[in-house]
Amino acid sequence: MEIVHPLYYQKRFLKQTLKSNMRLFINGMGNISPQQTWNDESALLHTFDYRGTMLQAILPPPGQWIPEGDLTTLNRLESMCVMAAHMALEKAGITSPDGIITGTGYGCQEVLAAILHQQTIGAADIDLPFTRSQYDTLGFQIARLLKCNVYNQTFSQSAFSFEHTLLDAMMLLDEGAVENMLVGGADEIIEESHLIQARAGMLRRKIASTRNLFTLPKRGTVVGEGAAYFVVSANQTKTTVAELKGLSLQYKPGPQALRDALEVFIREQGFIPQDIDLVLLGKSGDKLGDQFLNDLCKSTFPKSSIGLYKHLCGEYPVASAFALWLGARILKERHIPEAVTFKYFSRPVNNVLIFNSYLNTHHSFMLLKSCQDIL
Amino acid sequence: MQLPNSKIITVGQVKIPNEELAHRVGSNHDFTRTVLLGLHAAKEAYLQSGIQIMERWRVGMVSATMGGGMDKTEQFYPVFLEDSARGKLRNVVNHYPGKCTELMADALNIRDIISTVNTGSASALNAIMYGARLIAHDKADVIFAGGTDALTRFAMQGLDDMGLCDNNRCRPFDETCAGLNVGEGAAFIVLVSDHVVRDEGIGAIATLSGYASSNFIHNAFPSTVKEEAAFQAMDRAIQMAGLHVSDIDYVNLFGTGVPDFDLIEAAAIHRLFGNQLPKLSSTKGFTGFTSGASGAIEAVIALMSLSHQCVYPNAGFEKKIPEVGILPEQQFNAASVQHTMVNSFSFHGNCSSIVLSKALPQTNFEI
Repeated sequence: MEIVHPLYYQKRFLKQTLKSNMRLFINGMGNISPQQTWNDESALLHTFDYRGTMLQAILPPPGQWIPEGDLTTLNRLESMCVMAAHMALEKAGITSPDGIITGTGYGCQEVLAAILHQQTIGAADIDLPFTRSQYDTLGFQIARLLKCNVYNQTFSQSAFSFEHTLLDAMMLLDEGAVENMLVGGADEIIEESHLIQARAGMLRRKIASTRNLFTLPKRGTVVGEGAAYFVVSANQTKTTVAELKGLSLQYKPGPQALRDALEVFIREQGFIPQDIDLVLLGKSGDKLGDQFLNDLCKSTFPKSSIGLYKHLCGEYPVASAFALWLGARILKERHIPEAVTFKYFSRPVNNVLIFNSYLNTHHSFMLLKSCQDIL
Repeated sequence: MQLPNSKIITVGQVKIPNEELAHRVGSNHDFTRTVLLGLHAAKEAYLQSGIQIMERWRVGMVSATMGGGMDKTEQFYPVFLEDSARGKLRNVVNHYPGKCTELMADALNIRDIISTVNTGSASALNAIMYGARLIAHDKADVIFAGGTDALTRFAMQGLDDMGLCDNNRCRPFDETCAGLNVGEGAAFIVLVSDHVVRDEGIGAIATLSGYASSNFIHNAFPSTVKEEAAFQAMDRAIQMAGLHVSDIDYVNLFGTGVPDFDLIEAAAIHRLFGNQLPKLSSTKGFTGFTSGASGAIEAVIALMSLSHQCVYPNAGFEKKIPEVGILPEQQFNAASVQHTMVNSFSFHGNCSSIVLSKALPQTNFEI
C-alpha cells in the first residue's frame, strides 16, 4: 500500500525542543555537593580542590533538617535528598509541594552494596530492608517526612534522570492541576563503584588537584556526587531565582547532529547564539570528549563567556542538577565566580545556556533566563 | 528456586535460557537477562504495530525495571568481593536501570526520548502513563512503553526477608493465600498518536482512555498500600476515560497473594463498584509477581482480553476470603469486553490504574 506523507509530518518539521506552554520559574533551590553550596554567604567564593578521583559531598549538620528519630534510619543518600529538598522548599517559602519528582542515575548504592554483601557472605540475619535499596525510596522518604501524599515519581535514566524530572514537571504544570513542584537530582558515590569505574578506564590514573582538571588534559575524569532540589512553578514570586526556557536531550548524536541540535534549540527559543551571555559547559576533563565540546562551543558562541563546573562537583549522572543550581545562582547574583570562569567577556549575564555532557553519549541543553529585570 | 540462605521458594521463571533469548533477538548474550527479555517483548510489539517508516517520527522508549542488570551483577560481585581487581567488568557495566533501557533503545534505533521509571511495583503502569503524556503534550509521536525484570537472588531474598514470599504456588484472593511468587518477564506496548495511526495507515488494538496514580505514604510497612489510595487511582482513571464504573467489564487486579494487600484491594473494589462488580481476576497465579514488568505484562493481558473478547481466570483461587473477599473468575471464558482496567500498587504506597478501551475513532492515544 502506498502511503502519502504530508510534508508537515516530516520529522525535521516536528518540534524538537522540550518546553512548557506555561512559563517555568525556579522559586527555590537547595544543593548539597562536594563544594560548600548549602551556606549562601560563602557559595563558591572559596572552592575546595580535591586530590584524587573521588569527590564526596559536604553534608550539613543534619539536626536542622532531619527529625531526631530519623537520623539513624535514613541512609546517606536519603539524608542528602531530604536536606536538599527542605532547603529548596524553605527558600521558596513553601511547606508542602504538589508533587515530588526525583532523578537518580546510581540510586542508593551504599545500601544496595551492603545487602548484596550480606547476602553473598550468607549472613544469617539481614537487617537492611530491601525497599531502601530501591530507587524510589528517595522520593518517598521526602514525602514521608513532609507527610505529603502527592504525585511522587522517580526516574533513573543515567545522565537524563534529572532532565526527566524537569520534563515531567513541565507537563504537570501544563496540565494545570499543580502549582509548585519539587524536582531534584541525587547520586552517591561509594568505594566499590569508584573502583569499578577506575578499572573501566573512566577515571584519571591520578590527579594532584582538581584545580588542574582542565589545564592538564588527559584521558579520564573525576567522579562526584550530590543532591540538588528545586521548587518549580508557573508563577513568578518574590523568591524566583530564574526562568527555565527550554530543555533538549540528545542521546548518542554524531558530531554534526549535535551541532545541528544546538542550533535548532537556540532557534526554537526565539534566540540567536549572540543572545547567550554565558555557556556553562559540562566537559569532564577527558581530553577525547572535551576537544569537540570546546570547538563546538567556541564556534557557535564566539562572543559568549564560558564557565566550567565538573572540577567542582565531579562527574556523575545528575551533575546537570548541580549545573542548573549554578546557572540560576549566577543569574541571581549577576556574577560569575572566578572558579567557574573559563573564558570571560564583559557583558551582563541575562541568558545562561547549560550544556551538560556525559561520557560522550548523553548531552542536554537547558536555557535559563534572568528574572530580575522584570521584577 | 533456592535462595542464598538455602531456603526454597516457588518462582515464576521464563523457561528460555539467555543464549536462546539472545539468538532470537539477534543480540549479544552477554547482555543482562533483563535486557534480553525486554528486547524480545519490544521487538514483538514493534513488528505488530505495523509502523513502516519509523524515521519520520519522534520515537521514544519509556521502560520500567526494579532490578536493572542485577542478574549479572550477582555473578560479578562474589569474585570482586574476594579480589577487587577481579570480576568481569562486562558483568557489571550494565547494572544501572537506565543502561538496560539504553541497550534496548540502541537495538531498536530509538534516540529521541529514553526514560526509565522506577516506582516499585507500579513502575510499568507509570511508564505507560508517562509515555502517554509525552504524546499528549506533543513531545513524541511513538512511545515504546512497558517494563522488564529478570529473576535475581537479590530481589527474591529481599522480598522473602520482608515475609512476602509463599513457598507454594501463590493463590491471590483465596482464603489460604500466604504470599507472592517472584516472577520474571517483560512486556511492551507501542503507544502512538492519532496522526501516526492516520499517516501510517495502521489499525489500533485499543485506546488508552484513562490513567491515574495516587500516593499514600505511611511509616510502617506493610500498611503502606491504603484502600483510599487504591480507590482514588481506579476512580480517577475511570473519570478520565469519561466512563461510569458500570462501563468497566473486566479488571485485571494487582492481587499478588500477599493477604494484607489482597484484602485492601478487595475493599477498594467493593467501595468503587458497590453491588455490581465487573469480572475480576489476578493473573499472578500464571506469571508470579514480575516486579517492574508486572503492570506492562498485565496491560498486555488486558489488551488480549479486549482483542479476543475473553476474560482470564484467577489461577490458584478456590475459596473466598471470609470478611471482604471477592469472587474472581475461575474459568477462561468468552465475554463481551469493551472497557478494561489494570491495577498496580507499590510497596511504598504508589497506586496506579489504567483504563483500556476497544479502539474507536477520534481518540487520543492508540496502542
